[in-house]
Amino acid sequence: MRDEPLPDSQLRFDAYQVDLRTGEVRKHGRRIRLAGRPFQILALLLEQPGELLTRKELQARLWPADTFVDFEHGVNTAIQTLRRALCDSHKKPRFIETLPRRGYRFIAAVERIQSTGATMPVSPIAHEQQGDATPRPDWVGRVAAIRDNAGRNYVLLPITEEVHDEVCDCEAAQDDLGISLLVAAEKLLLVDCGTKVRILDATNPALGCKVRILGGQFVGQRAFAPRAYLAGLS
Amino acid sequence: MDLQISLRKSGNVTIVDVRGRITSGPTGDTFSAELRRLAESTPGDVLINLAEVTQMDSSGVGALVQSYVMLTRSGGSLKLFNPAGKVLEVLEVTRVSTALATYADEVSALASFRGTT
Repeated sequence: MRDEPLPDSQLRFDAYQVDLRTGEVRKHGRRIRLAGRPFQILALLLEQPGELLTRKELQARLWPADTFVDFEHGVNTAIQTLRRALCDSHKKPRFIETLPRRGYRFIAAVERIQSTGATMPVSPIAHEQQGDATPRPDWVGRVAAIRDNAGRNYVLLPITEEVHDEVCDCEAAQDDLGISLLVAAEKLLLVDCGTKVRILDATNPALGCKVRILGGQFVGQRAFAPRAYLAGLS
Repeated sequence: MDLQISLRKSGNVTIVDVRGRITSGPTGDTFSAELRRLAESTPGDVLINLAEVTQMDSSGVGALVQSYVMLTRSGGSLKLFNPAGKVLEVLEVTRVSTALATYADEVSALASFRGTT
């Protein structure tokens, strides 16, 4: 018997694709490690994006009533693991928002991949944000300025999307030396905020754009600018 | 201001006092060459005083990280002290200030080599 995927068991958000049936999570097509309760929590959050998943619901669904464990610690640890795997931050969440003392909410747009290959938004949030995930050919050729929402004077621009993924891996592993080495190797470019860049490609604008740097130390070089670092695009 | 580099010793630790800016071009090249020469000629414990560095870009970061790797491979170490202002911000953004031990002053930096910090 052929082991074909069940229809609608695959979901997509940002650069991630989740197979609820096999428990696999891929980022840009590359499998990332996520299993056990962190995966189960992700699946629960993706069932109802935009809605609160309470800590009580989590306990009831993932920790059987006769289990004697420190549930609070278990949830916190699983959420931390999940956030690390998704390169997410509890301070500036892109995916998982904490509602203090209540629970968690998935805040990114989620699409269900149908057996035909077509995608359908899972929630009203997906409808609202769909424009953000849609390619923006009208941005190509436009000039944007590099900014940092945290108010720093510099940002690090990866030279490619693959390096961006590598940075996410370093962040998840708290590998500061790894990030420093990427800077030393000029795979991660230290760029002043305010530097102008020209958009070369905006096929995945929710994640970021390929750009040409127009000023400063790296003038002329190509880079991948995460969306949050691009000002002046709408 | 161009780059000025001077060396002094405190016990077995070589302290490198740096003054000026470390940016791509002649100053960045000089800084890289000096650190490389130091790492190759006298591998050991090195402490870099950044108090009077006014500007640093990725070429300075690259020189620090490469020297750190060279010195660590040869059994030595490289630590920093006294970065300030935008230089400190560059070191923070590039994670150098956490990847390499970084101290607020010379006394605590030297004490760290003796294992007392």
